Amino acid sequence: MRYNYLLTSLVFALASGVCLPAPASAQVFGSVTAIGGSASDIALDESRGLLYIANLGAGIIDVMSTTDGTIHSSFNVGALHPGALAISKDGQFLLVANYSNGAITPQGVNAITLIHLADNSVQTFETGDPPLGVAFLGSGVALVITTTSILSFDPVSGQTGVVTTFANLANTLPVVQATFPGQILQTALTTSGDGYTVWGIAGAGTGNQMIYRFDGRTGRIYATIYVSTPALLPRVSVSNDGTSAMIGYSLLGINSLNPWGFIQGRYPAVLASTNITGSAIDSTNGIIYGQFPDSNQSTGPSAFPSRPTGASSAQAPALLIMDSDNLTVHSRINIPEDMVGRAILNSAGTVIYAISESGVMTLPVGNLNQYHRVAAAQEDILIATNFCNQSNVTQSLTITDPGGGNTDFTVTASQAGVSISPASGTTPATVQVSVNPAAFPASSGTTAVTLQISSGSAVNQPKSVRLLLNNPDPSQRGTVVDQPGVLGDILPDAARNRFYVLRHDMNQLLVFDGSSNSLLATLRTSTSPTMMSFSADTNYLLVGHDDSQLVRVYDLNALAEAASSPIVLPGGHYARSIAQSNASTLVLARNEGTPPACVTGGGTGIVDTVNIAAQTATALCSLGIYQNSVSPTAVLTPSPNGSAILLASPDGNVMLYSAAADTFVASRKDLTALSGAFAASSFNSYVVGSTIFNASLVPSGTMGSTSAASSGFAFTGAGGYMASAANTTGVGIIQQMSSLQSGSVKPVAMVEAPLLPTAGAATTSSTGTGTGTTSGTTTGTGTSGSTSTYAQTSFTRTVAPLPSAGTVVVLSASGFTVLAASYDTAVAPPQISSVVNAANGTSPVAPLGLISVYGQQMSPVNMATSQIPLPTALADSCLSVNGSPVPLLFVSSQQINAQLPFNVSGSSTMTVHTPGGISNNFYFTVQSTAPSVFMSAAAGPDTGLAAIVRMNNNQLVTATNPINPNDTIVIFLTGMGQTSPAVVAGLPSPQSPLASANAVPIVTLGGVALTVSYAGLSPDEVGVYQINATVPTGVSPGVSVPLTINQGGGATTLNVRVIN
Amino acid sequence: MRSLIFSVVILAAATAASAQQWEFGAVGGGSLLSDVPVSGPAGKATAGFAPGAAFGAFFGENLYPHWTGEVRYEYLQSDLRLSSGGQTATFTGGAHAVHFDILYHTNRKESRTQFFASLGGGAKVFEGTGAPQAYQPLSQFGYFTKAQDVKPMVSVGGGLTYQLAPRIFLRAEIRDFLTAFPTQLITPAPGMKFGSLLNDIVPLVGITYIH
Repeated sequence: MRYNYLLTSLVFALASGVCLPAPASAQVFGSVTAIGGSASDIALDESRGLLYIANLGAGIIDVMSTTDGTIHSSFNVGALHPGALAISKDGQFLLVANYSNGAITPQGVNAITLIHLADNSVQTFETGDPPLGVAFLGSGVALVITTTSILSFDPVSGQTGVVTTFANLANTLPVVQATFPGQILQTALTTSGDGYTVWGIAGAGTGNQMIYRFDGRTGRIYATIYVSTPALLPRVSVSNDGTSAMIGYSLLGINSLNPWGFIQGRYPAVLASTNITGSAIDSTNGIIYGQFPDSNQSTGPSAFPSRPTGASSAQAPALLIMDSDNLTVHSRINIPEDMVGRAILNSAGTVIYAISESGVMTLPVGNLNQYHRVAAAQEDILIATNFCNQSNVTQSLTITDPGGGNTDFTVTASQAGVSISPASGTTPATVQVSVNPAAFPASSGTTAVTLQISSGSAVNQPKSVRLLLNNPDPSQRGTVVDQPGVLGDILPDAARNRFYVLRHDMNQLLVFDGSSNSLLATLRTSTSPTMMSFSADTNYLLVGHDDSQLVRVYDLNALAEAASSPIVLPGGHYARSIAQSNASTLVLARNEGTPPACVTGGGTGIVDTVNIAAQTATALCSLGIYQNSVSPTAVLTPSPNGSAILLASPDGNVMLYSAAADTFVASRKDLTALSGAFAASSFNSYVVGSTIFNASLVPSGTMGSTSAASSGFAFTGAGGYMASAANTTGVGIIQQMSSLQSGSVKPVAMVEAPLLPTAGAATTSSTGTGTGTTSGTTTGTGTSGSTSTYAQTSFTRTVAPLPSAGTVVVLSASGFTVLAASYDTAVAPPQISSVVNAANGTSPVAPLGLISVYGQQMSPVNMATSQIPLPTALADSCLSVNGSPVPLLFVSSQQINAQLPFNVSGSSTMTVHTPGGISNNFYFTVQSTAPSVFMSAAAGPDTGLAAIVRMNNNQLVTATNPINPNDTIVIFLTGMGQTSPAVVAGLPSPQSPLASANAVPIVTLGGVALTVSYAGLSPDEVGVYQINATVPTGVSPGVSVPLTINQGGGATTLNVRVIN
Repeated sequence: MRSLIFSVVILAAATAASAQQWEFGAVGGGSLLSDVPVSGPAGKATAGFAPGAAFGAFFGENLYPHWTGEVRYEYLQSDLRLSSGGQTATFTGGAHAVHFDILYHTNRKESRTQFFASLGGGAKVFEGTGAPQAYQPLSQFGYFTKAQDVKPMVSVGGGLTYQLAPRIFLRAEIRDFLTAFPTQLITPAPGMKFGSLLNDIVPLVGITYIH
């Protein structure tokens, strides 16, 4: 039955809405409009500057002005209960789903109300079953979700049609008190920006949840039943092209091979909540704005009664700003209330309107830069003391406002012994963090101290900074390379002289150069990467994820995601470990779905086989004669020759896959538990923890100290390297063995502990069971969700030998530690043969100048640093002049580049300290000035050019870019000696005031004096000086005209071309 | 150089003083500069100018039945060029030519078709107008320079005129502008030797008005 009647009572309720300003603390972003009821849905009418709010409790549609954020009027829908609403793309119609499911007085009507916004005329159409949600397609047709079906509705003709039917759950009215509308309707649906796709969820917040996608181009519905713990709440935001949708805390995606959709990502470590969740996708900028309950929020302005179970009572609601492809969180912004329903981003991407606890929250995200925020420029600070330097060490920390503003801040350290100066101030600012090594126990490893940044006016929750204190003694080997983040899994690529590391917290695959140990590339992964594996041809790298069904494939030659990426695992499978053999590529997945009928056992861990070229993955029916039921925290590792794959399980089970048989051929459980290292050799031997297994997986021996926890093992032929540690903050231990039968191997102390398995790692929070169902026209495969467990691992792969670089890289407390492959061999004492300036290689040197020290055995490995301030120890080497430590830039066996201290002068003595001992004293003279122009510039293929720049075209002076009359040139050099103000060696030169050279230089060109406007240290550079000079007229032209710098008794000359 | 230009102007003025008929014209065509050889420790190459457009104007006076004197200006668009081993480097450039030529006509002036030969002299101002770069390919042979270089010039050539209307003639000619190589624009790298004489073959077509 259909009713047509005019809306007879348009109630203007100017006083019913109250716009609440942000709390007086000004720490929150956005404002709240309280509506005097319970908002169940919102629709944005941008053409009229209005936001329609379905006020379920009050039975009205509130109309909020987006200009001033106040309720200007309300539609009275009588005895109906507006549970959901949507506005047509052309802005002509507002469609309201009125929910009256069950007995209520007065009895409501299950109907949809169509409001013609041009004249506010109203039509009502009964739906029979309670309508739960509505959405308009770009074609003008609306979808109406009821408790039993999906209907199409044409607002022009009023015709309805049944798209599909299903059984659904919804609560009967009246409900118990303090129930939010979302808990009643359990449904949400949203149309993509292009108008072709509708994503929706029904039965949200319950055990079985149907997620569906309606394709407006084909008229097909793809539906899947999900079982998620925590349950997905009814919040749906859709990308502009409809290929992905954020539903609850899960990011659903589709591709041509998987039109039913898959879990592209899930917000890790989400906490259960009955009402807090909301999101809005900004496809233009690749951002998802959202709130998802978690335990990782700092103290905020107030606590609300609806905090999720397990959350701190002091938590503040936070808007997360995340990447839209893998949910990497970049910022947390304090917001005044929790998001408890739909969130809409306006078309300009500047304002979010979100249902909040009091009504509607307005978040002007486009103006975020106008709000105070505070952040540290660095994620980590590494302070390393050494046997050359046991005095207080200082590092700089830069505090900024990302919007460029001036924001107050305070920095505090979590431990005594760390001083911060100034500890508070206004951005932008650089604070000095000083550490007294004596204040920390002599752990000989790395202690992590948290530097917490706070602000009274900032709206964001700034990330803390990790201060790493490394204090090794001379016997410890290796060089710490600071790499921020939560790292896990490392794979060496000897052929390309690289190594790969997964950064879990930022969803990144990090590619490092094996020679310089510097970062070559950062590739994006999906959510919560777990472990890696090469393809059989080693041209590709596969990465599994704990919060994504996807296995990403990377082309290692192009250093980009491969065309055959991603591979979607079966529903409910999340790759924990991957290994390739010559026959198959296997994935050990955490299983939250229902396995295929052929699979017996049905455990929470399952092994899939992957076809990279076809981009498919299939669960194995069995593992040879064994059930395909394994621990979800078990791991796989291949033998280097591809003949076998070892499966190690924390409960002590080990299994062996043979590529020749293309199946699992052995399974044993001789031990009650296994953890730590896991590795397979090409010689039919295997290592798990400190246990050696033979070709039949029979334990055949142990390695290492029983008091140290196993961290990693990597085979190099029949032997290998093993890393272990007693604890995470102490000394690390590395052992090199030529074979597993070589007996006792001398342990050597590393500068810090390698990464160790996480305690209590053998469990997961998996509870869901996914099933496929037929809903409408298409059958989907079920998956489910649970909290992330990537950090919970019994096994660690932390050792990567790089024969091509002659090093071994070990994931360790600060990032990774680099050791020479021959770290345990006897090392001859270092020798110094000469000291020259680093600019042109001549012998005059001066205070603060950059120098090159030549000799023998000065470092076991080549290593450069970009760390600022410069470290005084690098790769087991340190340098002292007259007993003072010298900041280092580069070390190698035959050359060290460093910066002389400020106060050194006259006859001086230099020594080099290495694991081989201390060099003999080397005597040299430090002049007060020794100007030397850098001869290290390059133009095209031409190298070794003088670092002189013509300012009028900002290019090097060369024969083809000659000096002209009236040119201003900048000469870059070193060795100009002491400056005013004084600058500490190893630190960048200040920008203000500039550090001018105490001795003023005289610069001549062809005998004609140039006008020098500045001579001193280059701002922000270490040990680099510059002279700014202007060329007068009258200089005789020539291809080779002498340019001479005289300064305080030191002089240098080089020839340049001059024209007129 | 200033004295050379002065002598050209004096010569032109003397011609005008005994004029019987005045002739004005404009011509356009191309500049086909030849390269000079480059040799030295870095190997062998050629230096010169790439072909480009040319256009100009002239003013003359017919004094005798077979003889004409004319003052001419041509602008020659031609980039600087170094070539060696299949590699070529260029630099934007051009030249201005100012000269006085004596023309001998094979037929008398009243003939509809007249062939002529010319000989004259003047100056050519070479210009390098590109942007200097710290790195220039083939810089082991020479350096392109943003500068001017003025060289004395000899002009020889010939052509024909064809009467289109009582006072309008079509004119086609080809000339060779001979100068020394402008080493201020392409400066030899140390040790490199450049050929000294540069030929600029310039075919031109234009219209002449006789008053």
